[in-house]
Order: sequence, then structure tokens, then C-alpha cells
Amino acid sequence: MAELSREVPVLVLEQQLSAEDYAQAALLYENTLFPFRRYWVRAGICICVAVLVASAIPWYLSQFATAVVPICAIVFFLALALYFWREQPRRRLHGSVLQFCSSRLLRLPGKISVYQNGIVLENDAETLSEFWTDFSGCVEGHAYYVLWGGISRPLLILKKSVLSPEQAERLSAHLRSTFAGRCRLENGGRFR
Amino acid sequence: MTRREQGGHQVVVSFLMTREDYVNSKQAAARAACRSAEIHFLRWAGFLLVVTGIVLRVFFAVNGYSRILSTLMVLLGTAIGFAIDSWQPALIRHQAQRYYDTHGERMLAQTMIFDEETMSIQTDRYRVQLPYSYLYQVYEDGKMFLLYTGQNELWVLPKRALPPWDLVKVRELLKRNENYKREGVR
Repeated sequence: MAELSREVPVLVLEQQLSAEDYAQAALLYENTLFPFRRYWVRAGICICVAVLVASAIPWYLSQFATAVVPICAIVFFLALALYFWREQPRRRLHGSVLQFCSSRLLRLPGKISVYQNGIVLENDAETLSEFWTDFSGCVEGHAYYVLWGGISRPLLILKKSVLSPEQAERLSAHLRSTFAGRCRLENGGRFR
Repeated sequence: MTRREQGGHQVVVSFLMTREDYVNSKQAAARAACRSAEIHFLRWAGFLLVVTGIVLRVFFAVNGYSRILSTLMVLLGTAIGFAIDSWQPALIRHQAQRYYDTHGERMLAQTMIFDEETMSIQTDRYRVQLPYSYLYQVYEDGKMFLLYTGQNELWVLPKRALPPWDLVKVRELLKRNENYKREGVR
């Protein structure tokens, strides 16, 4: 095992994730890293295309007898926008909840020790020890920190609710200095 | 002497994932993720497109455009019909090889220990001991065991790392999981 435990931990916290925590954090990660997967971006693109098609109707009428085809296209894109706006977030959350429920290890309460060079997660079944360089990046939201791209776990989630405001501030500062350009704020913002 | 040593029924496997192992594991994971209904649907859709394209080409192609359209239909049907068997594995292989070549540092040596009651996995970064019922799914094909601890977390055990007598034992133990699936093994 990576010998991080010889260092003095910067912070120690205990947490247990719920399905909702996991789903919200997974959504935070996805929305931040992949802007085109955000429901309002996709819905916005569809509405823009519908408006563009609508603006071409006068030209279409000058070429053809009826405007059935552009009207069908407008209805199609508006329906798609509605799907992205209403259904996509629900489906994403449902998928993430299923992912969480499929893993018994994620449900276990655990102790997380944050070190200068890495992080250690311990629970009844597993011990995960990763250096910061093992992760691809970090996303900070208002309720979670999501460390993504680790060797042993794709998403490592830390809840802010178990931290005091001072601890949260200390951890944020530590992650920002550690990950630098790879640390992002919710919805694509970056620390300056 | 520990209980594990007294038992004498454990299987200990140590290995480092090779490029070929990694590629095989990705292909096996893709197969494990496929539902048989999806495979049948793709094959039938491809077949119907090819037949329709040929019929249109032979009997109804009155001009150049319709000939091109029916030819494209045949090509599309072929691509869809053979997706699972030909170009999809090739694409997965290419992506896996590229990932392995650029992320060699993430391929850590692993030790897996299979006991009567529990199994454990140990790498330089991770150690877990869990009962077989904790596995979400177990998939076996000709070259690999895939041990899923969650929908999106899997551990790979290449069969090349197991001697024949241990292979039988490991299979017996993993079969205790209710979601054990076996394909392409005699």
C-alpha cells in the first residue's frame, strides 16, 4: 500500500454516503466536466435549431407549396428540447442511484484521512490509498468535493456537510493548491 | 497459524495486467454489457436493411439516386448487422491499446486471494476483503474473469495467471454469486 499514513493528516473526516449524495455528486461531476451533457445546454441547442428552422419558413414557402417539412422539424426539435429539459435529469439521477445501489462498498460508513500527498479511505471492508497525482482532477460543488479518475475508484466523493466551515475552507484551500488547474468549481468555473 | 493458513483451501493469484489482458478485459466487459435482445435486434435490423437494399436495387432502382440510396442501405445494413462481431470489437481493441500505451502507470500488480467465505484484492493503492455475495456481478469468458464490485467498478482476473486446478476452484467459488454469467467457455 502507498505509505501515506506515516504523514500527519491535514484533515480526518467520517462520512457515509446515501444514494442521493452519490447521485448529486455524480451529476455535479458530469455537468462540470462535460458542458454539452447539461440538460439546459442541450435543450437550448434544440430550441436554437427550432428557431433557425422557423426563420427559414418564408424562404421554404417561396420554393415549395407547403411548410409541412419545416413545421415537422420544429415540432421534432421542440419535443427533443422538452425531453432534455424534463426527462434527462431524472434519468441521470436514476442511473446514478442504480450505480450506487449496485455497490455494497459505497454504502459503508468510512473514515477519510486527507494528507499532504494523498488521501486514504478506510471502512470495514476496504482501504483505499491514493496519491493526488493518481487522480485526474477535482470538482468542488456547494455540497461535495468529487475527486475523479482515481486508479481504484472512478469517483471519490467527500461530503461538505460533515465538515465544519473552517475544515471545509482548509480542505478547499488544500485541494486548490494541490490540483491547481485541474480543480474546478461547480458548472465549469475555475479558481483564480 | 492463521485461520486462512489452517484452511488450506485458498487460492492466491498474483499478476500484472499485460496489454493483451487489458484489451481482452475491455472486450469481455463490452460483451458482458450487451443484452441478448440488443444483439438480436441489431442483427435482424442489419439483415432486413440488406435485404431491403438488394430488393430496391434489383427491382425498383429507376435512376442513379435510387441506386446510390439502395447501395447505401446495403452498406448500412452490413455495418449494423456485423457491429457486434466485427467492427465494434476492433474499435474497442484500438481504444484499449491506446489507453494502455498512454496510461501504463495505472496498471498495478494485483494479488487476489480466494477463500471459502471471502475474497480479497490487494494492489499498491487498494485492499479489500469481501464476501462473494458483495460482488454485483461475475462474468467469465474464455480468457478472463470480470469481478464487478459495482456497476462501474470491475476487477479483472486473467485466466492465464491461474493453474488449471486453481481455475476450477476459483470458478466454483465465484459461482456462489447469484449474478454469475459465463459465455464462450466449453
